[in-house]
Amino acid sequence: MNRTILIVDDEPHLRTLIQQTLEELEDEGVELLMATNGEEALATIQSARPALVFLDVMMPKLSGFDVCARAKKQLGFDDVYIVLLTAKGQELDRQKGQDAGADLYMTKPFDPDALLDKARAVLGL
Amino acid sequence: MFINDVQEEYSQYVSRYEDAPQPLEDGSMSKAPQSLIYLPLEVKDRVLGLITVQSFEKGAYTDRDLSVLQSLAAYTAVALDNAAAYRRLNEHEAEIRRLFEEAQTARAAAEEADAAKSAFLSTVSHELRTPLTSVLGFAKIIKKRLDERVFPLVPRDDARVSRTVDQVADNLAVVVSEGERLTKLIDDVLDLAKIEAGKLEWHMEAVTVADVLERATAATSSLFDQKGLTLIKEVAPGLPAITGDRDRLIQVVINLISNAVKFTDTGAVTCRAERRGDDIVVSIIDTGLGITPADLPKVFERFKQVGDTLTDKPKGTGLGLPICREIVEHHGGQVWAESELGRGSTFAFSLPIGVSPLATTGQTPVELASLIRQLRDRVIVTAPTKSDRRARILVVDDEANIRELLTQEFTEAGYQVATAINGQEAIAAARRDRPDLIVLDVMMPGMNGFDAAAVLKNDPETAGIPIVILSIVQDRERGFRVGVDRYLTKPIDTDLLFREVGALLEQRTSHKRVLVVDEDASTVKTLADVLTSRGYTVSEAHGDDLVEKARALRPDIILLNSVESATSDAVQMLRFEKGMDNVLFLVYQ
Repeated sequence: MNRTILIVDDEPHLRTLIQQTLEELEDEGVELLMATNGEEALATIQSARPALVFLDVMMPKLSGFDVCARAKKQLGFDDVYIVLLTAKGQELDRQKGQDAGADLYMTKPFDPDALLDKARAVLGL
Repeated sequence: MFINDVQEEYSQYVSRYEDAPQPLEDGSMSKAPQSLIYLPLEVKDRVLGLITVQSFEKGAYTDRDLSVLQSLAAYTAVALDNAAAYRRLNEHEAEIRRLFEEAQTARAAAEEADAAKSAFLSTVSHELRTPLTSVLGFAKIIKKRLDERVFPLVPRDDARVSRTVDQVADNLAVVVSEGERLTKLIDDVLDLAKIEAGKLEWHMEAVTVADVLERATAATSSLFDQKGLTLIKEVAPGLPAITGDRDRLIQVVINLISNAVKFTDTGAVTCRAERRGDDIVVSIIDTGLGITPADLPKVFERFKQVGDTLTDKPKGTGLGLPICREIVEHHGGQVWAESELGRGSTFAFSLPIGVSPLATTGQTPVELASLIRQLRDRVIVTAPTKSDRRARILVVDDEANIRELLTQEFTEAGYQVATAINGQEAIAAARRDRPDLIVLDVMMPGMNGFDAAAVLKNDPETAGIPIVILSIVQDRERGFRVGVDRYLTKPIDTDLLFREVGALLEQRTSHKRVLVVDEDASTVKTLADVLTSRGYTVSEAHGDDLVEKARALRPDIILLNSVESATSDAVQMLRFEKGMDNVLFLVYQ
């Protein structure tokens, strides 16, 4: 059973926040991976094929929408559960996220517990 | 004036007729004319000019010459008048074009400013949320870690340490709740800005108020439990559905209920929905502190919190009620508050039943108003036949017994009838009295029916009057070419005549037909709404079916979005098509 979670955000604080939120899952055999930009994220998705990705939208060069669309549509990784995290609570973005094939769309600031619950649900813990 | 013997007839008017030759400009001597016809070129009581025909012979002209000249004069007068009108129209068109350009420039600037504002808001939202995510997220993690792992290890027997632990827990709770308030504030500011900029997407559908209240009370039930308040719901049975954005209406009710709970410590909050006239009124009634009369008008203003005066500290964002007001007003309703200090407050809003919401708010193109104004100014709107007034019919026939027959028949049927015996009289009567319909014979001495019809249909003042030709002459084609509306032949089929007359009069009560050509459905809808409300009958066409629609509908005006290559051929074709000569083409962008 694949228990890898990829955390993608260009803001170091937010990577730390998500990592600390999810770190209690490490006791249950979950591996946490990090990526600091879109390209790195795409490479990691390809090589590690995580079960779950928490993906920031607003990143320089390759945005979260792009990463999501490439993973889901070009690589055909439909089994990778992708949660888009965005700081723009705009309906247009929600639509873009859907178009990119994201499984879930969460608005910042998110509740750490909600993130943890989601991770448990997706990984079946 | 028609004189066939000048010397003879002038002597009737002047004592001595001067037959002496008058020198001309080139020095030669002129002979005095012996026969002459003077025909004024008359339009609407104004004389535009004079046609003069002279001959050196006596008795040079016949009645037939006169009749031909009279037709010529009538045509010429109308042509001159139309030429003048056309010149004014061109000037007007230049003015319209200038107005359009101004409006477009203004709109471009407004759109640019709007886009900049949206981009700014989006950026601000992003920039504020990012640090807030860290602040709130870490605060929550710290709180959890402390509660789960640190505080259990701290010995509570020392009072100071115990108090510190409590303070740290309380302080963190403040950081979290204020962080959440800040988040809500950002959301509200964005919401309000979007509503104001017309950027908010509204999902209008049939909504029942009962459903809205059900959802809102379910969402707020925990608030009641926390404060031990009772919720009373009173929904009148059989309330009709309204058109609205369900989620936003729920947002309004949640907001009002939350406020009511916030300012009520004991008692109940009542949620009531009832019908008042053409509105459904939803009231949220609390038994709380109430609001002073001085504060009451301020509650819907931004950042004016009733809490400023009534509670120890403000708890909301100060934007909840202004957002409620925007949402309700978008639905065509109103929101208001009533209160008595110490006895509670009522916040209520109305939603109109059966009124389509202001779906076009914020989307109406800037130049639309000016377009409408131009249209109204330019189109000669024939006064609609009033139903309380009997329609007036002008019967034109040179035969007295036919006039009599038709007069009797029409009078019997309830119409008012006037008569004329030839083309000139018909034109004069039509211009003077503006009948609702003209029944016109063709073969008449003087000006015939075709010529009279042509003159009437070419004169903007009379072009709107329907003409029914009633003749033994079988020249339908010529009749329709000059623009008559129906062509019936003698012997008179009274039933058919009445049917056609009735149909035409009915049609007169309808309005000028406008064909709107645009690919953009929302623009067409906006134009259609506005034009319909101004009394036009609107049809729409897209590029490919323009010609077909125009032929079928025979509109008075064709409104085109900036002529694209696809439609320009069609427009060229239509411009030169028979029967389309009077169609007004207007281009907007």
